[in-house]
Amino acid sequence: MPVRSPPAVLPLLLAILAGSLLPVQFAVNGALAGQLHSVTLTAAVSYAAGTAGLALLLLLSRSRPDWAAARHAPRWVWLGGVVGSAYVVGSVLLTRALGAALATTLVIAAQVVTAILLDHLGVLGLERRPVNRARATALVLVLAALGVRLWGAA
Amino acid sequence: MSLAVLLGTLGAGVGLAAGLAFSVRLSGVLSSPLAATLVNFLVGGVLMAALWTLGLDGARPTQPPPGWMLTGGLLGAAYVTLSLVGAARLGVGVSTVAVTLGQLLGALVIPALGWLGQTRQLPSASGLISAALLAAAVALLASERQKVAARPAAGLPDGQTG
Repeated sequence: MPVRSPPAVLPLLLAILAGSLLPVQFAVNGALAGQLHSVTLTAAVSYAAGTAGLALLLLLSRSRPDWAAARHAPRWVWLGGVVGSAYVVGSVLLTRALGAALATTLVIAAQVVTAILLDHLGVLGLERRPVNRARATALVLVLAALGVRLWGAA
Repeated sequence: MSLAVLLGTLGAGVGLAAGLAFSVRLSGVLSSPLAATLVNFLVGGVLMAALWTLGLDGARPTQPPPGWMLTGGLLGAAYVTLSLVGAARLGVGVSTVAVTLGQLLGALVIPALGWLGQTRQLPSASGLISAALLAAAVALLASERQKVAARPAAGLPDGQTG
């Protein structure tokens, strides 16, 4: 099949690859939690490896972060990791309880619902985007997906 | 649904979506999405290590885990970096759909092959239908956002061309 716009294909494949890494991470961290018998230690180890990888990447890239500007930003912008750790802990608990497949469905659904809610409220420096017909339809689709999945798993 | 599953779902969904909002803001301040992610990972790691040291959950490990189990964080870092590259090249809307598609594909394939200690499980009809519904929901949101984002929103990751 001829490809219309070759330049867009590689980034598209990279984005799909990026997404496929998340269930792999769920499975790997789930296995680690089974070995360590501790969700917090699992999350700490996962974050440590990720921090090392990102630090290396940052050194190799030409990116020059403006650390001085960050001092004048509101304090809360530094606390994303506190919120993010709820995601790591949550995904480990879910994968242990349900396996990577069902855990991924639940996380995507919860993520979409939360994102729509945060946009609707316009909190955390996000632009306020009230729920409209498209967003309401998306919510219904997500709830239908959950219903089908849970009914199938029961 | 057990309480742990409910809390896990809430934590993961809220953590991922709200964490992204924090990241976007911090990466705008630092002018570097990579550095913002690094800060988030560092803060999250220190918090988790502190909670573990306080003895919040679990026993001390008796033996070191196999090496492959330590790669979860590297996968997370690769996920963040590749998503940022994708968003810069494709625009946030299209890249979100592609990333979600990859998530759903991975979630179907890994258990089907029984990789990484997962119980072997072939995709069920309900699994495929729910994956299609989720993909449709994300595509709908992305196309709506694409329409709204005619003007560039403040605080998007740098290198944003969409």
